[in-house]
Amino acid sequence: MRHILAICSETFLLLRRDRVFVPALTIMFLLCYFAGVAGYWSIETYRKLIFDVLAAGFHLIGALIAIFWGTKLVADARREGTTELQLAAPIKRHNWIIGKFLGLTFMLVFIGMILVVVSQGMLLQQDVGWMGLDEITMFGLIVCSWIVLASLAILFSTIAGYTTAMFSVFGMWIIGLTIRNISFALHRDTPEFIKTSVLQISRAWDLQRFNIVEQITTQTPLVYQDVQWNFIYGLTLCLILLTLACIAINNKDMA
Amino acid sequence: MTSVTSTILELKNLHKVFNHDLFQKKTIAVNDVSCDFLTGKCTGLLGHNGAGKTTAIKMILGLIKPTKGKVIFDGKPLTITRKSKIGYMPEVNRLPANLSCEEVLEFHLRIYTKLGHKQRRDLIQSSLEQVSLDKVKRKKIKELSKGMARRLAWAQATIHSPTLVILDEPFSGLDPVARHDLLNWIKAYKAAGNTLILCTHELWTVRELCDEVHIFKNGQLAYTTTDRAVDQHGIRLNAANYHLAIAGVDDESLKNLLEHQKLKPWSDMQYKDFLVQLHFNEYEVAVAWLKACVEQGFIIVRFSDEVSIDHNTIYKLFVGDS
Repeated sequence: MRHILAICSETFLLLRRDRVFVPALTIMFLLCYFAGVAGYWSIETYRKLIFDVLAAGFHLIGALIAIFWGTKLVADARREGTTELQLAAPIKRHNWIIGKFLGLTFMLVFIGMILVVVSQGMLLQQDVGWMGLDEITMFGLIVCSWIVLASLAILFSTIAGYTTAMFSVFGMWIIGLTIRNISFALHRDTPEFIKTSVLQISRAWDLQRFNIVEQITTQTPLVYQDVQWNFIYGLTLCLILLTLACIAINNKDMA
Repeated sequence: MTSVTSTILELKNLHKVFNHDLFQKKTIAVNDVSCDFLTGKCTGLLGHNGAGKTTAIKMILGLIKPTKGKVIFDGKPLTITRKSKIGYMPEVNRLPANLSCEEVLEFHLRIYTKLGHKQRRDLIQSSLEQVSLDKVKRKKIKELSKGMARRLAWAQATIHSPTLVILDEPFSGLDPVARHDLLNWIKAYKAAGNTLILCTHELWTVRELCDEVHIFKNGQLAYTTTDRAVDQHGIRLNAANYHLAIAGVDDESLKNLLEHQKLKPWSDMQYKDFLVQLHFNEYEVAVAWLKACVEQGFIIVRFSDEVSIDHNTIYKLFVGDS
């Protein structure tokens, strides 16, 4: 536990000082401002517009940061050689991966919290009022999707090099966002085994589960049992991906 | 001068084969290497690029898993927890660029030791003072000069007081002043009874620091100075001197022993107080004399070896191979 905490706090500090941190926050602040401006485009649906822009921007930028950092933490560190020094220490490799993951998770949650606060400021300025539990849950689910992508990036970067890992995670991200719609839109003449396999993939890897913006914008009351299951789904994915990452790094030579 | 030298680290039939990908040929990086590293000594790992030195070091550090063979540390297989007694200074700067000097040492100590916050702070301060980095302790690694970064790497490798320190090309790219400082710190650390492994291409570092040398060639251990009793491929790497000190015996008795036991003669004899000191150049001759003296009931005060590596031979071997 001592080792995990040390690696976790070191990772958090390194990410806070990373060259991406300040630009990412700046872009997100601009996004909040843009969402506020977008609210002026319509009088009747200004609330929908604001939340659509916020949720899409949150998801997009956060996911990009999670993928970038998740890949950088392992693959880039391996290329630079900092991994070599850390793994020469009396630390189990799976503890090292867990420490890195936790550091990244705390950082993503930290960024998410800053953005919720800034968004709230913008919402108050736009006379939308205070966010309720539903809106905060929406942001929580988005942060959960970032963490899932981060753990996927960590897994891929333990197996492959920096570029390969990053592009693979991008691919998986797009698949995760689109697979549910693809499975619904398949033509009726599509062979049965393709239909089945697409359906199975969409059940296992569906990032749309973390997207509840439509319910927020239409002000449909959330069913918290479903939301709970979505969080459990995210947690399960993280656990599976991290376990695979731990197995991969335990069998890898740091040559 | 040592009379009994124990082994801190043993490599037993270490073998490493790399499979780079499915279609490439296998590369044998280290081929059945067995060697010892003696406690309190500085052992040099010599060899050309690709000779297998770095792979061997990475196997010792647990960064690469051996295909076959074992690494024995202090008599037991090297486990992750026992790695806390090992320090490592890599060839180039591997420290995280965005951390400050004190943060690097802080995280290092948190992993290697169970010290409290205040103890860690004190240790970091004294360690940074020792390497003259206390004035730049809040500077980030990326802002340090190469010499400063090497000083910090040395501080990091030794701050947790390891009994074995592995140095991979510690002097590469350093200016003469920084070299001189680092050389002195390494010598002082060795003088305190710690063991060092020095992986190097530079023969002057071997001359300055090493008591023993292992020479790697094509993934194999080609020559070693720890094997003192035998010539290797007709080459003797050690300039050895063995001493036998006997109490209360006259030179007449020793001459009789020489004649009757048909022993080879000593290379030198000295009288010191009531002791007779016999000097030998060959281990086998010295041991035969020891045995004969014990059989005669002579009082043996000391049997010791004073072995220094023959740098001219090492130089010829290393440069002659290229």
